[in-house]
Amino acid sequence: MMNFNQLTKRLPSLQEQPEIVMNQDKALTTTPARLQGFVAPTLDVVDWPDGATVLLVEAAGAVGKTTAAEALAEELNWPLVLAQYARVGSYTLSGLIQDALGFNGSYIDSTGRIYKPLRAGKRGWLWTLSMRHCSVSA
Amino acid sequence: VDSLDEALFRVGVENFLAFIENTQNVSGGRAGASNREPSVILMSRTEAAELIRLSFTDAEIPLAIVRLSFFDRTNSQRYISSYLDRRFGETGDAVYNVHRASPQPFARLRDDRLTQMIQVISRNPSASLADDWEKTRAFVGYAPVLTALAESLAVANPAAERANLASAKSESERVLLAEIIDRIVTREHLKFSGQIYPVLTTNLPASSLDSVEPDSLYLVLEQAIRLLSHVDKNALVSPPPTKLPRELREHYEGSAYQFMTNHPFIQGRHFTNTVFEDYTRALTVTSMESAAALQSRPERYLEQVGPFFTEFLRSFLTEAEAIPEALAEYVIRSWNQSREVLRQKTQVTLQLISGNSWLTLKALDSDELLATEERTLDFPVSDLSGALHLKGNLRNITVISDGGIILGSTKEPLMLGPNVLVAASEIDVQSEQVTVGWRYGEYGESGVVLASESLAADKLSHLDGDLASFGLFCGSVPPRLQPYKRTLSSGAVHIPFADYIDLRAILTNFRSTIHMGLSTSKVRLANQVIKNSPQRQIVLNYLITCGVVSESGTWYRLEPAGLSSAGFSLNDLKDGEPSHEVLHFLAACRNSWSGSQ
Repeated sequence: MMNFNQLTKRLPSLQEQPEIVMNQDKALTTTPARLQGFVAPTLDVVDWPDGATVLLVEAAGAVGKTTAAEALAEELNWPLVLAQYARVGSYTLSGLIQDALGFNGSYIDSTGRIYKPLRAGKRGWLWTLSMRHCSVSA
Repeated sequence: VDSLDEALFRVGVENFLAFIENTQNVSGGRAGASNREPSVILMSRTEAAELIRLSFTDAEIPLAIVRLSFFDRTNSQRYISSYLDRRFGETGDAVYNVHRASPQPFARLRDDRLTQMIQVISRNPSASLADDWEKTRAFVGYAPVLTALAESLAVANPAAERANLASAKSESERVLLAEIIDRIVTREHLKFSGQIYPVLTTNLPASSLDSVEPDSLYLVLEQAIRLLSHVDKNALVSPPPTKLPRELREHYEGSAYQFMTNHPFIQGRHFTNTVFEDYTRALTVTSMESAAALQSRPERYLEQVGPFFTEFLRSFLTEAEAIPEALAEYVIRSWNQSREVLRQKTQVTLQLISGNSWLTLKALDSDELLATEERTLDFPVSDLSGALHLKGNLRNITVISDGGIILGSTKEPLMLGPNVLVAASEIDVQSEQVTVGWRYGEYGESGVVLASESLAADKLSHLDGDLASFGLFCGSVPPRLQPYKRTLSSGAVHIPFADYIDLRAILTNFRSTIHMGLSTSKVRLANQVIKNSPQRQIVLNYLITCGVVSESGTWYRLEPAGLSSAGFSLNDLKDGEPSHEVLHFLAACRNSWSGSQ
């Protein structure tokens, strides 16, 4: 079992919300807001292997995935992609992020991978997700 | 990334997997081992989650997985308070501030209600909040249920409500939930009639006062009809209550509309909660009054149903009342969703044979989350079209029809499997893209069989999935699908599935009688089942020859000893597939008939 705060502490947060350079209509937002009076769910950790770069949050219908997604995105300052409005196929996630946040932005590198130059996070930790500097440092 | 299930449904498996591969690249997962933390979060329901998991396993990329859990007791209470706070902020209505204004009486009412729910679900009258929450968490900690509960707790006098509650007896969670919602709509009815009745009656001469009863205004069904009219933009052609004097109608309509737009079930033109929507839609599709009141029948507006729709529908219908064929797919979808919440495996059988059509929904396994035994819901099916169109994906289902079955639609890819058998006179696959044998969850077993005299798939351009498990037992098959055509091995007896249907139709027509045991009248069997079908007559004759059925005047009797000698029981006929014993019997029947020719 894990609570919501424990989850957000295991994930790297951005110091500030990325800036949108091209509006993607409803497909991507950088300003999601948690529901007023949001009650954080508890989570069962099914698996969390070392080096996992993707976290899958699964749930039955109407359990509160969207509410949790908004709260996570707000807490971490991550952009939120709403897949029902996005193109879904080859290169579409990298394309969407590049279109929305810019080719030369500080969020995604030229190879289409998420990276972030070393910068103080919300909790004062430094982190990077670049191809060349794959490390998380406190 | 949110709403991946909708994306999967929209774009199909191939594009979805390409998207996941791109996600692996974007996150740096394909770059090899590292000590980084996740930089992409995928939010998904179980179906899409399984595909994601398989994609990562195939690519040997580590994937972190967490599952959103149902609320624990403390968070459930917080959720209820949070909901009421939000509603109070939206409406300013004092009933939504009851938990702040009268915290102790409110807490007692809330806990009584939760305890009652736990006792009903656990089927244990002495179950308590403190000890039995975990066993029933999938229901009492489920957000839509808590929303409905919170709405029902918004009352002016929680102590008085608590006294009313003590007399309520509910036999099942579906009845309990319907009862909780009944309280909400009853509250709306009382508020409306209390405000509107005095105003309405001031415009009526004293002699006409009797024509308006406050108890007849804005009742449950009227609220549901008005809500659906509003949400679906389906005009009211004959608004309820129909007995309202004409001179009051205009004023009444204005007031009812204003009241309805503030109904707790909706926000704008959307339902606020899947429980409220499923309740409203299930109530209206079962009512002749709603069909008369609305311009188009309410089921025409059914697009998506939630996990509560089928349970509500069952509670609104008697055992003998049939659902129209057009509703069957929605009932199945809702059932699958409801069992997914409980992580139970489902098996659905839909038989559409003239005079003997029914839908059986089974939940096969129980889960440690909820102490349920095996559950089965049955619905007779009426209004057969002759060609049922099943637009959505199919899994764990047997469909048997003496008419046609249309699968998928040109707009969406179609996913079939696991465990899909469709046997019909004709099958027409309309989708351009089909994925077969799709594994679902940890209990997935492949296997997709289509059986028909003819199979059409004119628009099919892409077929993928577990094709080894795909079998077509069809007379004619499009060239593209020829590799999947199968024939029965030599030496085997070919038993058309229809033989099983015939046997089942005949034997399930027998009913318990006081004097004759299981029996059926000859006229009834001839009119309802045999209906001049030579094949059914052959099966009946063989049953008589074998001593399974005997004749007694104008009646047929089912002979238990004969049935026992034949090697099967009536239970063997309950499933959508014949047991080995039944197949042996049918083979003997075939051989006997062939030998006599």
